Amino acid sequence: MTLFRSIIATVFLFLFLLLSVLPASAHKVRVFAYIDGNSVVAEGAFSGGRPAKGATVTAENAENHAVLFTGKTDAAGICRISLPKSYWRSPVSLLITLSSGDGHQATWILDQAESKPIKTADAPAPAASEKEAPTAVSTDDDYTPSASFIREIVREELARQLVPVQRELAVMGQQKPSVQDVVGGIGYIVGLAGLIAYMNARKKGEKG
Amino acid sequence: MHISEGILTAPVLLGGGALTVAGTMIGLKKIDYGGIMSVAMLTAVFFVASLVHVPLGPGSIHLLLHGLLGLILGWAAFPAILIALLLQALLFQYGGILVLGVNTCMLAGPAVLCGYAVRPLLQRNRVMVAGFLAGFFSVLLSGILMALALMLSDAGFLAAAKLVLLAHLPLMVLEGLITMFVVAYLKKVQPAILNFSK
Repeated sequence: MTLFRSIIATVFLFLFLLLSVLPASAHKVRVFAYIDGNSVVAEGAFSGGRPAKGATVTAENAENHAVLFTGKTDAAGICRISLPKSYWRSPVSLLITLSSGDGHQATWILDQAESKPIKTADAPAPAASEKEAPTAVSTDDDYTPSASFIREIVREELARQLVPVQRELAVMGQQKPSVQDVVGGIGYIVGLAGLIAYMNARKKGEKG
Repeated sequence: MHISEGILTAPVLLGGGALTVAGTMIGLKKIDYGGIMSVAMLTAVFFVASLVHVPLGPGSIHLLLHGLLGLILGWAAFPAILIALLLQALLFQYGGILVLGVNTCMLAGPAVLCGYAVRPLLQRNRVMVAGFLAGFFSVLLSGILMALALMLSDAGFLAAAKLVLLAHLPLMVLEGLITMFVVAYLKKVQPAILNFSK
């Protein structure tokens, strides 16, 4: 009977824990990085949404893992590092690592396409069809912004506008423990115990 | 309290792994046929407890309850915590496979130590005190071990210890209280389980 009672008690404990789990969030640090103008901005937060203050941010070449620069996050969990001019001459993919100092660490990859400089001195010459559009509209105007100039502005503005979307995606991409994970884990534990008990029982049976 | 993958150096990882293997062997020897279910249940409790977020203090922490495991299971807390951490790493992406050894001995070591340290109190029927002390000191010692592991790898010990212990101070008190009430409750409804590890 005592076994039965302890099982009931345990089941209730599980239910209580499960219920208290559902609104809670995972316990991890995450980092989100983007290029803003000429600098890299890294935002660190714990999964509950609390900013990771004073965390160390390291940016390294994603291919050869040479550390390019380091920084620390401020009270809002944000670290802004302006990139040197030399970087823009040959942008590489960046591996941003954020380490909160208490054993938690997260990484973010800024790939080369993303980390292209916003303002390029030698923008590629626009294709012929694209060149036509602005000239056609502004035939009587004395000043016509070049297609590449407009392209730069649009790119810059778009990059800025997309940051919240990317951030949102980064948060959503975080794998949170689901109820299935929890129930599955408990199932594994009980199954393992059953397996050991079964093997023990067989060993006893063989002996006896 | 999990150390993420990629922070610790190889010697620390190997050392932690070796200690965990030793502890787990001792633990498995101590589990007898009748105790398997108790170990499994407490493994499940530990596994789930990590999902209970504690929004206190400067860091972001969750319940551990390893003091409870150490108090009830003794050495058997090693295999229990190992299995629970493995599942947490696989299912929740907490910690990781490579740091499993370090994380296990960081949590199970203090749990076992505190469990045996408060045992005399338990036998003298000071259940509440024993529970609180086991919960409180297991978190404290685990924090110190964590800072030690971080120091051996890279960061300065004092900085890491300050950060870890400050973040876990509320948890020490909370775990102490929870362990105290759970043990008191078990004493009332299921006193036999407290004699699991003699």
